Amino acid sequence: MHEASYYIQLLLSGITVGSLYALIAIGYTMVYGILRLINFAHGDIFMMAGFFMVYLCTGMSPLVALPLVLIMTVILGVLIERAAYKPLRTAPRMSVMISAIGVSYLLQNLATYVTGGLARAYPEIPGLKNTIQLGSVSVNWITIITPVLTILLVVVLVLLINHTKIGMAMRAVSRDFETAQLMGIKINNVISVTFIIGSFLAAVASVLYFTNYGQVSPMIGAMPGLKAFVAAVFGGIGSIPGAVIGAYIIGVCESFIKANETFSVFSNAFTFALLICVLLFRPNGLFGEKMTEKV
Amino acid sequence: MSKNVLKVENVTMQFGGVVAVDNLSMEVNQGEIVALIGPNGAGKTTAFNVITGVYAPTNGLVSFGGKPIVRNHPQGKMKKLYKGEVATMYTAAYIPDGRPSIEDEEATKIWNDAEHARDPFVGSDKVLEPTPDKITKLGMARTFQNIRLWKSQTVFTNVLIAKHMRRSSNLLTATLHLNFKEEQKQREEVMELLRIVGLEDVKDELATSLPYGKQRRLEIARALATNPSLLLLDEPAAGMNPQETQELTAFIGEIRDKFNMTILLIEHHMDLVMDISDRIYVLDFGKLIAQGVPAEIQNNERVIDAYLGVADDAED
Amino acid sequence: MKNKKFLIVSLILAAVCIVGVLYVNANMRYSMLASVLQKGAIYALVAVALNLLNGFTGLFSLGQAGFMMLGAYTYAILTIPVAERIAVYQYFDGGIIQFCLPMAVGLVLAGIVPMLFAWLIGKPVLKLKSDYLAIATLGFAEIMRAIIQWKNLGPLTNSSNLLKRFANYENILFPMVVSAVCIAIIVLMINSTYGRAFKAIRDDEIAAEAMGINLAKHKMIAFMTSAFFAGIGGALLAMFQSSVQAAAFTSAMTYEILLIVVIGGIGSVTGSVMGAFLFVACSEWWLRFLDDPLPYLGVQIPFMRGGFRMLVFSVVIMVVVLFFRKGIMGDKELPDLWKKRPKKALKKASKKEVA
Repeated sequence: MHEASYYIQLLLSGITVGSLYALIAIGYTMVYGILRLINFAHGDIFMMAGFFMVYLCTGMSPLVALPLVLIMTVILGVLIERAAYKPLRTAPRMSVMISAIGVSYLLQNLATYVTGGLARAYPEIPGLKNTIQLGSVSVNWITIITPVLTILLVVVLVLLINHTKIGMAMRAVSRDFETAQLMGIKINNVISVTFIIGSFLAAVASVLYFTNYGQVSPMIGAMPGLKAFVAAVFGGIGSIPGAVIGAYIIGVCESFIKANETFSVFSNAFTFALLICVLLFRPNGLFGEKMTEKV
Repeated sequence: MSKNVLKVENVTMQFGGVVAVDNLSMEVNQGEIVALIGPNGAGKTTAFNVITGVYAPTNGLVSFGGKPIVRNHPQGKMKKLYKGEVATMYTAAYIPDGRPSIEDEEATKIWNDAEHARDPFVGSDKVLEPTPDKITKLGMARTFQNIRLWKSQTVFTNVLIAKHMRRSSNLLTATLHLNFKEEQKQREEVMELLRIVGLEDVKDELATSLPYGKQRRLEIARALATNPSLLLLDEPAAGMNPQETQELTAFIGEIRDKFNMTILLIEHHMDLVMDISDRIYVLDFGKLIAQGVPAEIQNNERVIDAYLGVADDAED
Repeated sequence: MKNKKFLIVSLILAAVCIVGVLYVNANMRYSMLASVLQKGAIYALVAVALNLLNGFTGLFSLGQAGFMMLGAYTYAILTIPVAERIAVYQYFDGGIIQFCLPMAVGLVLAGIVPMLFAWLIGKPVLKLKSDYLAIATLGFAEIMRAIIQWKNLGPLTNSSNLLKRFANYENILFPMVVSAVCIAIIVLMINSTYGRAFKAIRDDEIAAEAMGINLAKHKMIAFMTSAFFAGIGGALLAMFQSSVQAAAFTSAMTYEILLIVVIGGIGSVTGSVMGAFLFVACSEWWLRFLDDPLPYLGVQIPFMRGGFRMLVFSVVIMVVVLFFRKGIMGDKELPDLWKKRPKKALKKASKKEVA
C-alpha cells in the first residue's frame, strides 16, 4: 500500500496533464463545431510550437521567445487553414479529413527532416521548475500554474464566446453554416478566429507540457492530440466546458493507470476504449446536443 | 368495399416538445390514389417518414396489408413530455371504453375479435420499429421530396440496385457470379421498366445529368423496381412547371393502371391533386382537419382557411 | 471492334507484366525491383481492401493497420515450428502454443481472425457517422496494439518482442499471386449485386435504405471483407519482412495506406494498385537518393539529407490532395479509359429538352 501523499501526487500530475489536454481539446472542439472537421493536424501544431521554442531559444532568452512562439504558432494554424482546408470547403467531408491527415503527415516529416529525427531538449523557463513543499507533497510550480492558467483561459474564452460579437458569430456559424453565411456573417473571418484561438491555446499547452516533459520530438504531438480529441468527444463535441471536463477525467485516469505496473501499457488504449464506450452509450458526449438528419 | 392496404391509426410524432403529427388516422385502399395535403410545415413529410420507418412514431399504430408494421407508445422521457391523445392505447394499461359487460359472452367475444383484428397486439406493450428497408421489403416503396438518386450511378444501375432486395443469391454466389441467370432476368426487368417510364434512351446516362422532370420519373421507376404494392410519392411535382405537372399527372394515372398500383402522395399542386386523387386527407399543424373526395375538400371551409389564412391575416 | 482491340491490348499488357515478373524471379531475386514488386503487391492488396470500405461503401475507416497486425500475428504465432518456439519466445519459456500449422491454413486464419474482430467491433461502431467511425476504428487499432504488447499475454504474443522464424515463402511470386487472387475476388464482389448495393450506400444511405438495402448488414459485409483481406495482407507483410512486431503497425501505417488510396483515386481498384506500386517504388527506391547527403553528379546539394525524401513525399501528397483530388484514376478503372462513351450526343439532346 502506498501513502496518501503518493496518491495526491498522482492526482496532481493527472490534473496537470488533464489541463494540457483541455487546452488542446478546445482547439479540436471549436474547429469541429464550426467546420465539422477533425483537425488531425492540431496535435502537430502543438508539436511545432515546441520546436519553435527550441529553435528560438538558441538565439534569445526564453522569456523573449515565449511571445514569439505564441505568435508563430497562431500564424502556422491560420496558414494551414488557408492552404489546406479553405480550398476544400465545398468538397465532401472525407476529402477535408484526408487533407488534415496529409497536413499532419507533412508537419511530422518536416520536423523529422529539420531535427534529423532526434528529440531536442526543451529550454528551461526560469522559475517554472522550482519545487515547493506542500505538507508531505512536493510539487513544482508548473503543476500549480497549469490548472490555474487553464481555468483562467477557459473562463476568458467562454466570456468571449458568450458576450462578444465575434463570439456570437461563432455560435451562429456552428449552429448552421449556410444560414449564418446568408445572414452576412463573414465565414472566413470566423474560421480564422477559431484557428487563432485553437493554435494559441495549443502553443500555451506546448510551453507547459514540454517544460514539464523536458524534450520535444517530431512524433510527440500525435498521442496528446488524439487524446485531446477523445476528451472533446467525451465532453460532447462543440461544447467547451464539456471538452475541459472530459480532458480532466482522461488526464487523472491516465495518471493512475500509468502508475500501475501491470496495466501501464494500456494508458493510451484506455483513452480509446473510453471513446468507444462514449460513442456507443452517449454518442453526443456528456454535454453534446442531439442532431437529427433531415430526410 | 375494396381491400384495405394501409391503415394509420392514432399516430403522433413529437420531437421534444413539438408535436409534428397529432393523432393522425387514415386509410388507403387497394387501387386508390390518396393524397395527403396541407400547408408547409403541416407534418405531411413527417407522417410519410413514420409510415416508411424513417422515424419511429411517439405513439400509434401503422398496419400494412392487415398486419401491424409500426407500433409504439410514449416511453422514457417522452412519458412526461407527451402532449398527444390516447397515450395508453398501445400499452398493457389500455382500458378501452365501449367494452360490453363480461357477462355477455357473445358480445365480448365479438368485441374482442374486432379489437384483435384492429390491433393484434392490443393490451400489450409491444413496440414495432422496423428499419425502412424492412418496410420496403413488405411492399411499400417511396420517392423523396428532394430527389435522392445515387449520383455516381447511371439511370440503368439506379433502377437495377433497387432490385438487389429481391435477389435470391447470397454473397458467395453473387461474388462468383453464379447468379448470372437471376442477374440477366433482373436486367431485363429493369429494361422493361425503363421502357414503360420512357427512360430507355437515356439508360446509360448518369442519373444526375438528367433534366429534373426525368429524374422524378427515374425515382418513381426505381421505387417500382422493388415490386411494391403501395407506392408513396413525396411531392412528386415539386419544382415543376404546369406543363410538366400535367405530364406527371398523366404518368401517375398510367402507373396505377399498368401496375394495378395503390398510391399515397403528398402534394402542393392542387391541380394535380384534384385531378387524380380518389380521396384526400388534409393536415394542418399536424392535425387532420378534413377528409373526403376532391369535390368535398374543394369546398371545405376549414381547408380554405388553412390554406389562405383566416380573415385577420388576409387584411394586411 | 472496340472490345476486341481492348482485349488484345490488355492481353499484351498482362503478358508483358507476367514475363517481366518471371524474369525478375529468375534473374534478380534480391534486387530492389524484386523487393518493390513484393511489397507493392502486398500494399496493393491492403489498399484495395481499404478502398472497398472508404471508396466503395463510403465508410471512413482508419483501422486498417490494426487488422493487418491481427493477421500478421495470427499467421506468425500459428506457423512457427515447434522446435523454434523456445528460441522465439525466449522470455516466455517457448510460449503456450505448442503446435505448428501449415502455411496455407495459417494464411486463411490470418484472414479469418481479423474478420471475427471486425464483426465484434463492427456491431456497435458501424452505426456511427463518418468521422466518429474514423476515430473509433483508429482507437480500436491502438487498443489492439496495446493488448498485443501486454506483458501478461506474452506467452501468446511474445509481448513487444519480435516474432520470427515462422513459415515463409521461397518464391517471390508467392505474395504477388496471393495478392492478385485476393484483389480479383474483391473486384468480382464489387461488380456483383452486392457491390452495387455498397455504392448505393456510399452515394445516399437514406435512399439505399428506402430501397430495401439493409444498411447494418451490408456495411458489416464490407467491413468484414475488408478486414479479412487486410489480415491476409498483414500476413504477407510479415512473411516479406520475416519478422513481426506490434510497434510497426501504428496509425501512421494506416495513414500511408489511406494516402495510397487517395493517390490512386478513391473508388478505383486499378488506381489503388498503381498507387501502391508507385508509393512503394518511390519511398523504397526511386527517391532514396534524396536522403543521401553524398555529392550527386559532383555537386553537393545542401538540403539533401536524412528525412528529405519523406518531406518531398508529403508535399507531393498534399499537392495531390489539394489540386488533383481525383488522384490518378478518379473513380474510373483502367478498362474504362478505352471505352468511348457516346455521351456527348445524348447530353446535347437532354439539354435541348430542358430548353
